[in-house]
Amino acid sequence: MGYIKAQDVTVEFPVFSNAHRSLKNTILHASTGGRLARSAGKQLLVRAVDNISFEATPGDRIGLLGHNGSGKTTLLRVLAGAYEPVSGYLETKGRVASLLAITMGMDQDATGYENIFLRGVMMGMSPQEIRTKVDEIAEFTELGEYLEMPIRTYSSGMHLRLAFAVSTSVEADIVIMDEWLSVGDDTFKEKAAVRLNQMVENASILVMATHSKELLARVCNRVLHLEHGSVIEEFDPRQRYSPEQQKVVNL
Amino acid sequence: METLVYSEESRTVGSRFHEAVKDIVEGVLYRGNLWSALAQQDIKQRYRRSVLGPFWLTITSAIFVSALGFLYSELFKQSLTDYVPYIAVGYIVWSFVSSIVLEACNVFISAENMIKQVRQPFTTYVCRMVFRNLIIFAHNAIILLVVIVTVGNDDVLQLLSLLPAILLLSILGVFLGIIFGVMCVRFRDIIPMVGSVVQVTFFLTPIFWRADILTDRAWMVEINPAHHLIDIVRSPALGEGIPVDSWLFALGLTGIMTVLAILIYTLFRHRIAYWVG
Repeated sequence: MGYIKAQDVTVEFPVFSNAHRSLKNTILHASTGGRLARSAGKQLLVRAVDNISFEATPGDRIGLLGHNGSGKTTLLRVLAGAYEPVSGYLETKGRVASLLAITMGMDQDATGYENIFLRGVMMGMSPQEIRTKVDEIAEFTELGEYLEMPIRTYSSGMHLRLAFAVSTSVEADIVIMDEWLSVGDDTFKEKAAVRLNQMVENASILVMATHSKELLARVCNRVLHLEHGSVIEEFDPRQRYSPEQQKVVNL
Repeated sequence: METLVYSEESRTVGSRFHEAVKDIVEGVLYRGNLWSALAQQDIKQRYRRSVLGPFWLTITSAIFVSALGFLYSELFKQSLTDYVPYIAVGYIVWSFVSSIVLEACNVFISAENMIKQVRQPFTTYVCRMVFRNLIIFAHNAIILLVVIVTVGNDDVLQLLSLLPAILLLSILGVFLGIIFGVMCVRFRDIIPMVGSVVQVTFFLTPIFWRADILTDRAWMVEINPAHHLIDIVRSPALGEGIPVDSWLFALGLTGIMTVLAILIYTLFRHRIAYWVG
């Protein structure tokens, strides 16, 4: 069972210029004081997530809505455990599957099967777990004999099919996604949607960033609207986006 | 159930220290599947489509050592049968240690993508680097075996001491990887700095010459960590005995680096993800 509790979670990124990264400047700054203070001492900070609080319990399907740069992806990465909040309280319970970059760690020169293994261990599966799933994954991709070949021979669509199949084979309590994953041609897309739905249904919590209101109304039961790193409103997308409105959006 | 909590309490030094130790223990012991897979992948990637693969390193080292051995043995007035085995072992161990130090700088920088997507103990990426070098060392170990056979070393105790020696170097490599990895991710100037220090050390370390030809400046070898690290493998491999002082030096160094690595993790581990980008 998954659970998330965030209380005043804040994330700030230091922005390093080349001068900031240099040890020389830091040392010179330490020894000369005042003069270089402006270049070395003043560190530019970007507050990407600003005092966000929310709680997610099993059954929650949370959509993150907001402009580019409103902090959606950063918040997802915080939930995935990559960034530690600078301040505030955050608790996550359960196995987290991060579907933020599904092709991460795939090796162009390795075969399809090798990449299933690589991507699998990267997602936190044990070799035994992967071995029990490899046939199912292979079958789902419909790549057949291509799986014995280096993936640089694949088209970009085939690439994504493979990455998608492995990434969605993980059993997780919390699924984290940046936009609804959609891969392949029309028939495959349908199959992929069914599989992703299955994964999300098996998980107890979904947190997904998206721009699509239609998707929010279909998948989510809560929407957090972000702006400049903070939640400006929370609403139920099924009430907000009525079928008529969805049609307008879809047009 | 995997639980993750960040709070005021988790930001205290005591809790950070605990997390630092946990990161090292988990990374080394419980992420073996991941770091070994990644390290093997690194090797495969480097030698993809090459017939001999990593054995090219063995061949390169063998050619290098034989050619230099042939010439330098006259230069230093040494017999060929003494000198070539000496530089062969010294050079292989030097390559192992020096590439660990050089690659230590990039352990986190090169793992940027993974660090920003998934939560893993950071030590996993360090172990990947050490294991990758251990695989390369294993290929070079063929030369080591040839040396042991040619010098007729059959002292079981000395030969057995090679295993803990290599294990110690690997453990030291993990701590060096943590220390340099964190420092370089924050201050990118340290990378070329480490590069030049390693280069100078190569000439200051008895690899192509013997430490005992020094008289007044012998201390320069005594204080050189690289010398001791090489010696705990070289001496027993050549049947010259287990060097107790070098072992003590290497153990002491590893101890200090353990403390430093834990300290640096305690202070900065939570910042690594912010610094890599």
